[in-house]
Amino acid sequence: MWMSIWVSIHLAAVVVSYTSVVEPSSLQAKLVQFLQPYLRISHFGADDRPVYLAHGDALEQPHRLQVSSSKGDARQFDDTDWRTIEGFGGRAAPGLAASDRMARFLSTVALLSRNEQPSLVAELLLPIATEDAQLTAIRIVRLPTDLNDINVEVEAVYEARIVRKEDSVSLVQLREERLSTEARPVTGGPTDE
Amino acid sequence: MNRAATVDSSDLKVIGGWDRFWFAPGDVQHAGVIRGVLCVVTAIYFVSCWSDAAFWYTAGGPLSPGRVSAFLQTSGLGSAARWVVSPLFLTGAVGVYYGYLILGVITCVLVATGRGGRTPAWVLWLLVVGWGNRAMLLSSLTESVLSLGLFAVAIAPPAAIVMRSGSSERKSSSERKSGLASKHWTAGFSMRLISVQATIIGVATFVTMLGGRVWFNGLGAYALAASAEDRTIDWTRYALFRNPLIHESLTHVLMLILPLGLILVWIKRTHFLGKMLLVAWCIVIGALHSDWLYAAALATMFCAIDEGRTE
Repeated sequence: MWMSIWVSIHLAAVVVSYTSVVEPSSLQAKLVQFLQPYLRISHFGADDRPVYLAHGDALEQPHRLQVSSSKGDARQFDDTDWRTIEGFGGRAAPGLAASDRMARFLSTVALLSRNEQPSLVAELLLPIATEDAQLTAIRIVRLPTDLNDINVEVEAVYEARIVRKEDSVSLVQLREERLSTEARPVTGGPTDE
Repeated sequence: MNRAATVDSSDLKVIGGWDRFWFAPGDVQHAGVIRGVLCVVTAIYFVSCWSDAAFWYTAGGPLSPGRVSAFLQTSGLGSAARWVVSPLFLTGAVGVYYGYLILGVITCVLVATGRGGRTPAWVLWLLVVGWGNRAMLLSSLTESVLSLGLFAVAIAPPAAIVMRSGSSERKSSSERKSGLASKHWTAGFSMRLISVQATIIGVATFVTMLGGRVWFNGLGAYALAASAEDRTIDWTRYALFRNPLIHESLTHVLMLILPLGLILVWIKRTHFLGKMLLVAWCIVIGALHSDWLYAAALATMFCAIDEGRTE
């Protein structure tokens, strides 16, 4: 009897976890939250990983980590100023496990950057930035695929200057300069002609 | 009175059906083969973690214990992550990580050859869970599927992936005659659990695929292969694959054969056809998306759906 109860709860937990990766309802989210102790300790849960395999999202595109040792404003750097880091522990063969881990890491960093979480991005990228004292800038670029519009080019989804002060190293995110509007005094209301 | 008796007998029928489904004796050798193949996939998984383990997890790495702690503190995810448990969070010593991977491969060999009783099978499951939890944001669905699969097969009695020659063969032959060792309820329960889990994953995959428009507009197969720089085989350079007729047809076939296979595999007459469709689906997904280990683990779980026990 206990086995029957356990197997029912176990399978229900797996169903809830695997079906709540795409826009879960509030009930599903609560259930996943409630079942977290069981699903996480045992690593049974899907934990928001892409069960659907592909939806053609931007985060599924290839991302690359690039570093530069050039001086000056990183936003003005030429492509030749950047060096792509192919993998850690040797160049990872595309599509195999080490390359997949790198891809997952970079897409997570890109997601955090998109969600305006620069401090979390810095926590993850600092060890790479501190490895070489010559590095002055670091960025993550997203490569276009055949599914993108033909005009879409390589896009920097995160770009930061590496600032070294005595023993400490920090990342200062560089953002695109945006056009801004200044408030102007109103000189008159709309006129009807 | 008669009505009450009818209700009672139908209740008993349901309970009997449930018990037969889960607790009827199953073939120990069949469970041994499935477990052995899962062990091979797991061993390849552990080996694949070797090359970059020192970079990610050890002191100074992006996911070193100290860095993970700081990350969770900054993100405010500390409470959510308290259930992500692994002994590897206790250290950043590179030797421990390599030792863990070696232990993982050795345990895979022990379990696949049926040595050491049930303990190595449970140890292997714990090792996969420990590594998967430690990997955190680097872990994929492969670890989750392996955890589900290895947990289920650990319930079955130990058996080698292939029948050993000599004394043990003679022994198992005599045991088979007495009908004791070749069939066991835990082997049946184990295979039933892995089969239902595989079906749930298959159904969840299909349902969540429906949430993306690429699986309706015919670009699903192309989306799997589109990140050509991150794929083992670059299908997008072949004009045949780029032909809309081909990749759109493939998308619709992939959307069709997954649910079809999941239905046919549970029907006794079409069981073999259903299994072949599901394995073919895994092969295509693995080849297009370079999800080799995930596809291999899932295909193995689909193969566990036992012909003799389908209704």
